[in-house]
Amino acid sequence: MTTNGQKLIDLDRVSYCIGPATLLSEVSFGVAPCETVMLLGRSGSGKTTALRLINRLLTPTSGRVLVEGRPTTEWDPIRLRRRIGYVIQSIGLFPHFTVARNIGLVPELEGRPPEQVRATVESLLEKVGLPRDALGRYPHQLSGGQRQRVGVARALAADPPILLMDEPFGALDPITRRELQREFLAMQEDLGKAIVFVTHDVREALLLGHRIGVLEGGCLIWWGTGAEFQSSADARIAGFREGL
Amino acid sequence: MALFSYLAQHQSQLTARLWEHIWLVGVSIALAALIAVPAGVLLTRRPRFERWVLGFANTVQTIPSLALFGFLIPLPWIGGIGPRSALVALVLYALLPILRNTYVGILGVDRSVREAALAMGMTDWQILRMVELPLAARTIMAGLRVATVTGIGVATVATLIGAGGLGDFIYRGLQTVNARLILLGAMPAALMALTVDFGLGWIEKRLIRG
Repeated sequence: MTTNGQKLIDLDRVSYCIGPATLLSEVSFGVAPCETVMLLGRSGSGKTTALRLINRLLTPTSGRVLVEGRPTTEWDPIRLRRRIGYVIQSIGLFPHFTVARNIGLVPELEGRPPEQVRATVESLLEKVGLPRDALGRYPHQLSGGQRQRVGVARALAADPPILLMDEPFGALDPITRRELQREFLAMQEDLGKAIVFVTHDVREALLLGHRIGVLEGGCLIWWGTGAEFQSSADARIAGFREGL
Repeated sequence: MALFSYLAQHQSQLTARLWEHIWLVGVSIALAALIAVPAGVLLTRRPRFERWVLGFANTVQTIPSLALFGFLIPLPWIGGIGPRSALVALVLYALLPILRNTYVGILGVDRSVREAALAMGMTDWQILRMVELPLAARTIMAGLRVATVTGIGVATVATLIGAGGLGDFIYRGLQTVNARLILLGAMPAALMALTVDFGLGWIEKRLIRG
C-alpha cells in the first residue's frame, strides 16, 4: 500500500491538521489506473479532506501524497489540477456560462483550438447522456440531475487520468441517483481512469467501487474489496453493513 | 414660464457650470473606481485588512462634506483652493460604496463555484477575471451608482472652495435670497442625479445575477 510505481495516486502516511485539530491521521492507500476506490465514512470522518489533499487544495501536515509518482508539493498546482477531474456534490457550475462553455472551459484554458473544444464538448455531452440542445442553455435552466451530468462532463473535458468525486450524487433524488450510478458504472470501464469516490452510502460504495476504504475520525480503519467488506468479521464494518 | 425665460437668459452660464459639475463628478468617480475596485479585490485576498480599510472608508464617510472641504484647504499638494481639493474630497466620499460593494460582491460568489474553479486548475487571475468579477458585476455597479448619485449632491458644495459647478448658483442664490437662482443650480443637479440613478440602474439590471 506504500510507494508503488504502478499507482497513479499514493498516500503515504498522510496527516492533516488545522491548529490542534487532526482531520486526517497517518492515512496510506494507493489507487491504480482504471481502479475506483470508494472512501466511505460519516460526516467529518476526513473523506473530503483526503480528496482535497490529492489535488492540492490542501497540502499534508506530514506524510506525502504522490500523484504519478511525484509528491503534490513538487507539482505546479495548476498543472496538477488540470490532470485531475473534480466533481462535487454542490456541482459549482458557472452560472454565467452556457453548458457548452462550462464543459469546454479547461480545454479552452489549455489553449486548444475552438473547433476541437467544440468537438470534445459534443462528444462528452453524448457520453453523459444529455441532449444536444442543452449546449446553449444556462445551468439554472437544467434539472439537478442534468446539472450533475454537466459537472461530470466538465471534469472529463481535459481527459484527465484521475477523477475525484465528492458525493457527486448525494443531493439528487433517489431515482435520478440510481440512474446516474448505473451510467457511471457503464462508463467506468471505457473511461479507464483512477477514481477516488467519496460517499457515506454503503450501497453506493459496494455498487461502484473496486476497493473500499473506511474512514473514521480521520483514520483509515479498514481497506479491502467489496466482497471482503461483505464478509468482514470486523464489528465496525458489521455496523456499516447494518445500514444496507 | 418665467423660470424658462430666466433659464434662457443664463443659458451660457448654466452650460458652463453644468460641465464643471459633470467633470468634477465624472473624474472623481473614475478615480475612485480605479482605486476602490482593485482595493476591494485585494481585500478579498487579504481579509486581515478588512477592518482597517473598511474602517477608514467608513470614517471618511461620516465627516460632513463642508468640514472635509474645509480640512483640505490648508493641506499642501492635495489641498488648497480650487478643483483639486474638490476632486480629492469627492474621491474620498466615493471610495466606501465602491470598495464595500466590490468586497461584498466578490465574497458573495457561491463558494462551490470558486472551489470548482480552483480545482479545475484556474489561476487566481483567471478566477477573478472570468468568474468573480462577472458574478460580482451587479453588486459593484450598485456601489458605483450610489457613489455617483451621492457625488452629484456633494459636488454642489465644491463651489465653496472655488471649484465651480452647479453649487455656484445655489450659494449665490442663498446669499442674495434669490429663489430662482437657487433653483437654477438645484434643479439641474437633481435632474442629473435622477438620470444617472436611472441610467446606471438600467445597466445594473442587465448585468448577470451573482
